[in-house]
Amino acid sequence: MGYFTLCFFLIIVLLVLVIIKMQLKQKNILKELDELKKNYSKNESLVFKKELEDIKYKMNPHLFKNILNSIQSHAYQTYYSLDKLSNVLDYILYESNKKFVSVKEEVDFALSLIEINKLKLSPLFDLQIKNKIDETNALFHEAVILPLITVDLIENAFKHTDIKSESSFISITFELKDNQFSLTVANKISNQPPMKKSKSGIGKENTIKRLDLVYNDTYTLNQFVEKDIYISHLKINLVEYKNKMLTVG
Amino acid sequence: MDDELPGLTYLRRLCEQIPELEVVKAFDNPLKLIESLKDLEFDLCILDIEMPYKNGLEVAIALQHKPVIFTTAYKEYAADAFDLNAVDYIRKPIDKTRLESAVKKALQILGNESGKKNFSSLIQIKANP
Repeated sequence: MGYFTLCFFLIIVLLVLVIIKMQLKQKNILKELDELKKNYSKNESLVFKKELEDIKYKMNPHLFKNILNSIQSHAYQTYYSLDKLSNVLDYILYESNKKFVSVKEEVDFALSLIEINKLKLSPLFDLQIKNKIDETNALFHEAVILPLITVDLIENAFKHTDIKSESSFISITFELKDNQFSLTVANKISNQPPMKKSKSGIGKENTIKRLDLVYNDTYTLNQFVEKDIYISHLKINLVEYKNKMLTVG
Repeated sequence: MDDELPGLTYLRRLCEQIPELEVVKAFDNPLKLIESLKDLEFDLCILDIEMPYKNGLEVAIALQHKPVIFTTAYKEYAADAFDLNAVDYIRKPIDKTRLESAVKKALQILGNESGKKNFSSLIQIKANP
């Protein structure tokens, strides 16, 4: 009996010892785990930091290619418009006081004028320029056109079109065919009132007065509205005009 | 939108300097282009590749065999582009003489196919609404 109790007691003691030891071990493991966790989050934040740095230096280089393209766009437009503006100024200074200029000179000037006006336009704007000038026509280089006679029609189109509206457009057609020079300008009429100017309408009056005085009945200028489109159509019969001048003087 | 319009302005200006080209219409939204395809008559399309909603490669597929010139800042798409029978692939920033040579190529292709050599119109797309 005494032996059995002793044995039992020893086993209990052994068990208690084992349990204590295991508890100690568990505590150690928990402690280690805790440390590992701490370490992990520390490492993780380090990795994030490193990644962030990497991203900073790996910024998409194509972005800059696109920006370079945009800057080139601005530079080209500046260079190009300066050139056209200089043409326009030259023409106004040196050619406009002549009585007559050639079809070539007036059309070149008008095209430069349109280029300058393009600066105001979005690239999405519908602007159609048609050049149907027959350069082999004998009249092409002959001084038979009143200088600046095309200005008013063109400027008006840019003035009275709502350039921000998606559906608006301007279409300008130059033509020299057989005996006749013609300029057709069509534009969608803006719903918004044009900018107020203290002097308005002088351009148109002036143009008509000059046409009347010089070309008299050898020209026609039709200006009319069709739905919401304004159309100006100037036709000058240059051969008829020349013949008339010959018989008169 | 504004960010990309200068690029489109530049492309349009360059195209207008090339006498063989007539710009039919410019777009800044690929969906709008696809929408208006049936109302447009053109021989050639100049397309950017990275665009919102639909990229240039997808648009090219929608164009169905019309010749396409791609312009992009990336060179990664070149292989895909030529898989689609692209006429040419121009990297940004665009160089005028480079564009001219691409247009010449397109004219040759158009000339071979239909004999209408001196008529070539154009649509260009770029960038972000």
